[in-house]
Amino acid sequence: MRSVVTALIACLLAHSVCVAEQPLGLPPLRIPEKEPLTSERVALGEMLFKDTRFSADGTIACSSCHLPGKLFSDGLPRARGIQDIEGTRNVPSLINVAFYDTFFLDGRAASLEEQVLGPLTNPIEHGLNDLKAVLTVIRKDERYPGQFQKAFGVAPAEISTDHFVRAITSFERTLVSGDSPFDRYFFGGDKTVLSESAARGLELFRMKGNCANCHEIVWKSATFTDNRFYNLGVGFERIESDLPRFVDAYWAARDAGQEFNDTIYTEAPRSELGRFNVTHTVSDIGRFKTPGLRNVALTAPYMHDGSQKTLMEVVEYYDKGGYPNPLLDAAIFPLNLAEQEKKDLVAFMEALTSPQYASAGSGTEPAKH
Amino acid sequence: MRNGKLLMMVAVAALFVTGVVAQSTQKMRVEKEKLYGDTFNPRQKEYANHVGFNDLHIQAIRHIMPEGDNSRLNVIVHHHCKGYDDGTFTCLMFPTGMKDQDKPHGFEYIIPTDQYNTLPAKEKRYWHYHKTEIPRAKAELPDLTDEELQALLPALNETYGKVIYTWKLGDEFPIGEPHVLIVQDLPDL
Repeated sequence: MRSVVTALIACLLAHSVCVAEQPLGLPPLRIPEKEPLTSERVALGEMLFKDTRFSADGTIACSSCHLPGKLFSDGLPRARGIQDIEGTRNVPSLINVAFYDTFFLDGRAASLEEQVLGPLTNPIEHGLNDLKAVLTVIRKDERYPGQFQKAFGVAPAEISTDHFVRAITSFERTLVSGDSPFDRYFFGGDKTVLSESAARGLELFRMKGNCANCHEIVWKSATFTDNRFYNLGVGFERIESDLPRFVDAYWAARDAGQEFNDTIYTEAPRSELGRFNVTHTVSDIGRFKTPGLRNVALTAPYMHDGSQKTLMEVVEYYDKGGYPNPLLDAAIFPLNLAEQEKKDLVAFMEALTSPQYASAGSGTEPAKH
Repeated sequence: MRNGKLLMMVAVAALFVTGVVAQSTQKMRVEKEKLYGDTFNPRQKEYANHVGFNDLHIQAIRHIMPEGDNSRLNVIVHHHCKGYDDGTFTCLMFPTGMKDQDKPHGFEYIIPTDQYNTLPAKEKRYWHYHKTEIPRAKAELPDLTDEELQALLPALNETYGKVIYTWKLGDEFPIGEPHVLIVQDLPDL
């Protein structure tokens, strides 16, 4: 990871925009001129990322859920924030997060920068009342003012939440991984690195399994996401009994030119509305973002609600054609996979693990103050 | 009976037999999705019913000219096709993916065998026989179940395709001359 940062910095000294060299299998990461990726910003961003003081009770850092040793996820079905309150959604890994077009599982943030501040004031995540607490911590700390000065050239009184955000996103943009056995086989041309089962699984992934239509592999790189949103039916049973009433109420309000005030669903089932919560478009009900699949063997459990514990469960779910519902995506239908084909798909997904995570351990604990 | 209509009737019959028309019988009112640019098409007029390319989706490898090594042979080229009453299809070819900003790089024209047989001998070399090339290209129709595909395959097999690229994969723009890809001459993987 440090070699990526060094290469990016060297590039930026020569050019205003860098299309950085990436690990095998990843597309170029564009670093815009306004947001140079300097080692000072990255280091500061990492410190902020791991600091538990940016929470109401001093116990939650970004890395409390996005654990470095768990590929910046947490291994739980659903996130647990302040006071161990359980949320409604699985924690997405931040590895290769820079290649997404939108952020959060419902895509409600249009940029990495927009995503950073949301969890801080979410009452079940970091629990801060407002962002003033962030600046208070920074200005009172012995090291932060100097670090911000080095990273952004600002005096302590000039430090803003914007600088906080930009430091964290600088760090997040260095979280890249490629060069998996799949990459060496597919892009590197080394036909010895995949097992026969995984090689068959790759073909199934691209063909009969239909996986690559959404978990995209293109001719020079693979992010394994098309950045779109789909309804697979996961979690739909939590909203389906009240859905007709919900949709009728929605249209009644729309047709009357009134604001739609949803009183039908409580918080937990409302989360299952997915992309609808962002777009307020009925056809988006139950849709969630296609996640990337790199290192997926290490980021169980799966799906937006963490309901599937193993990759085989995921394959079985797709094989049966998802959960029938009126808005199930047209691309989801029974695949009629043979048992060996299911095992081959799992073997292929296991081959998406990058070498640096092949022996992932229990992780670095967030900084406690 | 024209082959195109036969193909379509077989397709409809296959769909009826398998019972896969909709995932659920529940009807739900949904908004019409905004699919087209606002500036030139503010009222979202759709001409897809008579000029669109959504009748058939094929994905196939061995559709890109290799350069140096054979890695480009492994690129999946998405074909998005429209079927016509005369039994022919015209397909837009997308070798870089199916995202919003992926652009077509060429066309594949598909004609039934009886039309191919009327072509001059010199022209025939530009066309590949789908009965032999569908398995070589590991072609899939991802929007169909296996049963639906098997019902259509006999008719699809008796067609020929001609691939013409106006854009070389990897170039930023469609520069240079168009080229016909002699699919049947490409190496196997």
